[in-house]
Amino acid sequence: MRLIPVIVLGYAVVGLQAGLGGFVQLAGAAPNLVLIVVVFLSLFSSRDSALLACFLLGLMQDLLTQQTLGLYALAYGLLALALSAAGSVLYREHPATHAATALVGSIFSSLILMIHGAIFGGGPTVGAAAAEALLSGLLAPVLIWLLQKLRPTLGLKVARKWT
Amino acid sequence: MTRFRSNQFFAALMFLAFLTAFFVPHRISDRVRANLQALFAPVALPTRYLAARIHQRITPTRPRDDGSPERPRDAAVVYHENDQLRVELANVIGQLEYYKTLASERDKLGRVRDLCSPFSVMGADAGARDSISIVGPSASRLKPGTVVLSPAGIIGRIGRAGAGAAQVQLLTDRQSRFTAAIGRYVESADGLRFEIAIPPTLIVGAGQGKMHASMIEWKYVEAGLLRENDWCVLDDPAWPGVLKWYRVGRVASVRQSRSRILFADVTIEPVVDARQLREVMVMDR
Repeated sequence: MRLIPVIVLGYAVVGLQAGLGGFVQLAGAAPNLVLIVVVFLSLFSSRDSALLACFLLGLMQDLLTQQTLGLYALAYGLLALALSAAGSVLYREHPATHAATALVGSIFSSLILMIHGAIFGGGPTVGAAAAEALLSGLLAPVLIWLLQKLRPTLGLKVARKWT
Repeated sequence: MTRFRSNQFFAALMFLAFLTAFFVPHRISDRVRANLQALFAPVALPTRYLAARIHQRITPTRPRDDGSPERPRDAAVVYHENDQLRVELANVIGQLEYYKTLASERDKLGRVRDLCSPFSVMGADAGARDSISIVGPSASRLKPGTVVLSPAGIIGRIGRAGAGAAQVQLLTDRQSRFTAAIGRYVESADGLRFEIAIPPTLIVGAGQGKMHASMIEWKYVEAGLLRENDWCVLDDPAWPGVLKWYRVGRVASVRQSRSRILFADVTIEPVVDARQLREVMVMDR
């Protein structure tokens, strides 16, 4: 994985997330584009690179939220760890996998925010977490399909086509 | 880097993130990110501009008569009333100027607009909270707690501020709390006046663009003193005095509390969705 293109991608996606928030929403919740990129990197890059990249993406998202610094970095780091471990048993190329992992990943990261919220206040409600997970799950196949076109630029291995 | 070292490095980063998230106070971590969040403006601002244009085309904003929600008025009636109100407002401002001079508190009172500077909205919260990022050259001078408004009402307060950008915690955020009064405009022999019949109450942000009031007694609802579409106005001694009775939102729903039948469960919605605004006013003077 090439680090600079991944950082540029993360920068663009976090900017998009902030810019689109408030306009693309369901029941007051917006899809989590950064999480979809985290899922993409966890599925398609090597374990070590994915862990570091997802942590950095979380840190970037932390810069533009009212949540405590480090919370998204922690959540995405743990998510990348889980997805990398499960990568060998997942059919990575299938859109259903992308939707399901984004859905589960969103619930997982919301759970961490809720635990933090239960202690310090300000966590998401169950409704908001569910709406975000649903939107992210629906959007994941499309966004990951687009991101797959960037695999050579990002320095990720491109799957061979069997003829 | 070997796998072992890489694992150690990642574990150290995760431990650091855990410490920052759960043990380091906001005021310390905010210093770092307040100065970095403006970096995202080159992407967030154009995206926001485009999204707003598309959103406006798909779902154009329809004007709503918040002054008389039950019987929306004719444009001619609104013009007439507006003319009358301008006359009255000018008179009230004149009287206020007189009393300000008497009280020697010239700097503490005045038109709210004159105390504000405009800031562009960069984007909404990148996470699940109710906040917005704003950008402006004087952002670094803003202090946490500074009030942020729009012409339609109060939006929130500055959470953190740094070089070129600041984060605004919206009133609807789940960590927002303030006291407010609820009332409505009523026609009387003296003309139109704003009437508040129930004592100020605690309003708590509920997230997802909503606020809740759960300390209002049900008897006020039964007496017709509280109903949907009433105005919620700020009445909090901890906020600047010039903002007393400045609009915060409108009552979206009123129902009897399930767990405490003597109290009402009131949902309040802001008049505008702050996350969709292009510009806000910050009361920095």
